[in-house]
Amino acid sequence: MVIEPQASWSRLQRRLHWTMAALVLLAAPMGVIMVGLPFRDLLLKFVLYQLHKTLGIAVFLLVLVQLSVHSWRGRPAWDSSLPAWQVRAASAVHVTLFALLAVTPFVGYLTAATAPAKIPTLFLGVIPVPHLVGTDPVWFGVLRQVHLALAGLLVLLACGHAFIAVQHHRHGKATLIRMLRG
Amino acid sequence: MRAQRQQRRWWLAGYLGLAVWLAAALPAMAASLYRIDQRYGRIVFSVSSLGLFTTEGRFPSFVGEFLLDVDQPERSHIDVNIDADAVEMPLQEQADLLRSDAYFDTAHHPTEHFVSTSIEALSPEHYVIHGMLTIRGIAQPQDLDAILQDQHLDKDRRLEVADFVVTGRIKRSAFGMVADRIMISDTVTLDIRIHLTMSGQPDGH
Repeated sequence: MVIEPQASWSRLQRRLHWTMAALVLLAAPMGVIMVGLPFRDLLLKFVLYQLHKTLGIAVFLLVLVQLSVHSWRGRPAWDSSLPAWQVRAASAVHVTLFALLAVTPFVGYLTAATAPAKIPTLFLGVIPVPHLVGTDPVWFGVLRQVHLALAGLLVLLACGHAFIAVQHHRHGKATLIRMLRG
Repeated sequence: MRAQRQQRRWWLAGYLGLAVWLAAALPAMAASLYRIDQRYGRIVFSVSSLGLFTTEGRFPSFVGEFLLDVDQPERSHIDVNIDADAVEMPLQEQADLLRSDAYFDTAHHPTEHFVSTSIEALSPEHYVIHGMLTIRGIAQPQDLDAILQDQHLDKDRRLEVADFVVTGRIKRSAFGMVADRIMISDTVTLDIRIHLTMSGQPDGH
């Protein structure tokens, strides 16, 4: 099935884009803060971990929705004035961002599941999310580092993506207007 | 005749004396002194966090003796010292928190101590141990429930051994551990497995 290019991003696509951006920008520093908190601040540490997990699960679900909408509705055609290498680079960044938005929370989930502390994952603080794998200190050590690296890469690429969008906007392509108003 | 009567009195007194000594000595001989063997035992404790999940820890290092009198359990006696500094938790940071002054304060109180005051036999295999538990230098009365699971002769080691499952619940606030009351339950559940080996005989291991 060939999907015709759309004139602009739909309202749902735009809202999903900005919501995921906000959630990632919240979850990333929260992850750093919660890990650094001493165990003496036990309750705050626990609350931040659960909030971080909730944000991660939300991002994972939203990116699945976004991918579904993209496959169903398609995306606007690339700006014809863009050089081919920039289109290829932008495509690669978009694919990588989508992959990271799905894989980073999933690795985070596996990190929580394998953690020796056996702390449950509670979506929105109340809905228990079952851990499908058991605790494993060795895997926990590996997954924790992988999750951190993926999250760092995600934030880095998201910032680069935003920087390029702002640059295009400044050069008269109204990129941000299209992403905000359609 | 008088000398014979006198001699008979001395024999009678001797027999009576022996009987009294035997009567006093026999119950003591029925008791067995066991050394608590930490290599085959464990002291596990668990707390509830926000009522949502349970966290377990354990004390891998403890020493003690158990004078078990099967015939007269109330004469039995138990005395255990636990190395609080050796506490183990799933995460090192959790163990460090338990060693801190908010919890066990191991810098000032490196050991915990339990000594029985009386032992009540509910059945030949089921006992209630009444005693005093000292944590952070604070002594509180503490009851423990003990089930004798097995008592047999270990042929390899030529030692008499006994296995007990001891359970109990303590209130940590009674020992001055009041930190994180919202997060961690006041009630701490104990699950102790004790493997006892008869003292005074060579250890086979």
